[in-house]
Amino acid sequence: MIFSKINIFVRTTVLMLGCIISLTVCAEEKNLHKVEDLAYGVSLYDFYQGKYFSSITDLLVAQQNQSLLKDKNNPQLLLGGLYLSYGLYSKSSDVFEELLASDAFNATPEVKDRAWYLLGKNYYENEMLDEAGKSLLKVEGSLQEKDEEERLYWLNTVFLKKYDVVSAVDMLYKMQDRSIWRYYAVFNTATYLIRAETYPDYARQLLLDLSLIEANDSEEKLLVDKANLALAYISLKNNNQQEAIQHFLKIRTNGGVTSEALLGLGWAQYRDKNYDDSIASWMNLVSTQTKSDLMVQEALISIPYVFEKKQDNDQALYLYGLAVEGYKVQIDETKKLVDYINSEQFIAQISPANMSDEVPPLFSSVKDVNPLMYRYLSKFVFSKEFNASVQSYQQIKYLGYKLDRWQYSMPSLQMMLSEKRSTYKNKLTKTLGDDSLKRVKELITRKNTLLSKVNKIESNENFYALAEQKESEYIEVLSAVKTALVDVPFESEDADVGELRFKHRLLQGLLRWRLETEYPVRLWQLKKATKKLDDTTKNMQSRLASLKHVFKSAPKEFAEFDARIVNKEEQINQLKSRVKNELIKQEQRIRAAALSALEVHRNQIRLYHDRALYAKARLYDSMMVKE
Amino acid sequence: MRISTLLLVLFGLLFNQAILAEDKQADETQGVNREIEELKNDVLELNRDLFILEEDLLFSANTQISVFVSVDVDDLFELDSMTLKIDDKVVTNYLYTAREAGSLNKGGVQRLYIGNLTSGEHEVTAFFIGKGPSKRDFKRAVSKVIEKTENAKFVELKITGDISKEQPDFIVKVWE
Repeated sequence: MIFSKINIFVRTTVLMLGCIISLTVCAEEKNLHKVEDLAYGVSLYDFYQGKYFSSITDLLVAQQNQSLLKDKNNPQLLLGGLYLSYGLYSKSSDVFEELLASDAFNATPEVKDRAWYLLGKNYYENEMLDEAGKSLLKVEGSLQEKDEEERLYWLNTVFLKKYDVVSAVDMLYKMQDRSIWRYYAVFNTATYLIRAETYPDYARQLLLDLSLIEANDSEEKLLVDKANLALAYISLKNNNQQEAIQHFLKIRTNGGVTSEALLGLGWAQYRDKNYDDSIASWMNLVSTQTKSDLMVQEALISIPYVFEKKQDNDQALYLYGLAVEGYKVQIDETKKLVDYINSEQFIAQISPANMSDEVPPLFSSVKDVNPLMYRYLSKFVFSKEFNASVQSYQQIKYLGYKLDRWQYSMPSLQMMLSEKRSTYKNKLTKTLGDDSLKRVKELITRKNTLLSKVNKIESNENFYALAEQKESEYIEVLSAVKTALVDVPFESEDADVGELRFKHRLLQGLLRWRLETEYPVRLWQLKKATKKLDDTTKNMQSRLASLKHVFKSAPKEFAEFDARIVNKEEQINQLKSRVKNELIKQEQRIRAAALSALEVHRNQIRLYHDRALYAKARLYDSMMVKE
Repeated sequence: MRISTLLLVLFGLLFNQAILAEDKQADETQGVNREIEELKNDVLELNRDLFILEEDLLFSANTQISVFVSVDVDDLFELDSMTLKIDDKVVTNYLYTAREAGSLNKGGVQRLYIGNLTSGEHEVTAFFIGKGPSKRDFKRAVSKVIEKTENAKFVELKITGDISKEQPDFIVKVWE
């Protein structure tokens, strides 16, 4: 295989925040993303504040409590995206695969497309190129334009990494002309072709097109500079100095590749025998760029070399001497930097400024960077690898902080449980000694008796039973009169008795008529009252049952709580120890990476130092011979 | 010193983004990353369990009441702070940061309060303080009597917009 590694110029800031941005875009579409469950809304509240740990916890709690009832797709999509952003790749792919495979989610095409897209990115992060390509190709067209461009960019990257140039180039034609993603894809494709030494004309044309775009921001301007640099490289390789100079001159003097451009320009001019111009370019490089920049180091030794070519040996000797002194200073400074990286100060610098911060944003992870770090390791400090390691370190620190807080609150939970237990004991004793329970039972019996009486009245239509107090008194009087009238012998009945009988019948009839007429109303009112009574007693019964249940189940629940607390305390201790170990490992990794990057730089300076010393000695010798 | 040095430098710049680790180191890195991934996941699961444990212990369902705040209004109201009273007692005062207010505006839902209530009727009163239309100071209160049963009670305080009146509207919604 020609290339053991294909290095892609990654749109770094976007790579790390890509899925977050996508999710945000999705979540901002309120119509598509309506919050139908409070628990999902709570998770979004944390998510929008960048609190991914809390947001994931919200969703996990909601899943456990089964409080995501109305909308299952969007919370699942959010969870998968959050896992991906939080570096839990395996969990993330589990979530997306479940979402895509299960009918239970009944996912819409939009949700499916987003899930395929995020799953593809997940696979890419795990170097699973085949799976990444397949997932990204399954997107059917409902992504937003910005995300669609990014998807095509990732596909181009995947194809390049799989050495499938035709498919990679095919993606370029599917992208929008003015898309930043297309610019990156074009640059990556062109540099891939140059490296592979295949289709050189096409690669050159891609770079030329890129160098001519109307760059509106610093990101686009850097891409244009890089395209010109690559074109200059091709020209130099083809021994076309003039063309290389033209490309170098198009590069900005205050951009990200200025040093490289000035160094290259000097060499192109040197090869074109324009020695003075080449010295001017390198002097410009030395005077305007950071002293520790390796391009500057190269220029420091190149300038006397050209003076030597110009037969100006005194000047060359003087400049070689200056270069040697400069290299010595740098070697001493890098020694100090080694000590600094091995010190606790370095670890303090990469530790989070505020322990309660969740997932600090990338590229702002390191606070108050040591000036020597900037001077000698600026590329490393701004590299994705370093920042990802620091971010990971800070995330572990946050885990430790969370575990500390839980450990701190465990005695409170234990105390709360003891309080509940003692309250329970007090209440139990009090309740058992109280005759309220007995009274409640009596009331319930009386209510039941009353209910059966009402039912009997209703079934017998006994309207007399619903007589009011006064009416009952009348009934009694009429009954007494009736009894008295029965005792009057028929032969002794006179007109007064007859009138009395008539009045008795009349009044009795009137009373009966009134009771019969008002019976439905009175029965309804009575039933209403008894229903209310029934509800109240049912409520009372339910409370009694609940009380009984609490009394019965409380000891078991307390024991369960006890076990849960003990179990969690153990888990906290175990995890704290793992966090401690991981922190040590991560500190070692970051230190080793920094030292390794610094060693590369130091070796280079040592090499320049030796070369300058050798050149100086050689020049002395030749001057001596001449004398 | 040769032109090849320069070509190498340029070549490195263009095609070899700093590769700090060799394959073996890459494997080790992957191993460490896997360990970190497992650790993160284990802490997340523990955090979930402890969260539930705490809630079960402190706010059991038969007494629990949770009050949430949500915003579904554009430009008509900027929330600065909230005061929540239950049965005329202030249970929480909350001052929003710009980040939190922004999160609410995007569709997030904040759990403003969680507490315990006995069964029966209770009055929930919320005071919304912020900037209304034309950035004028705005304070509004809404009240609702709720019936606490044996199930956990969820109350949402929702800020919506009445476009016809160009005024924000405040709703108390009880979730079943």
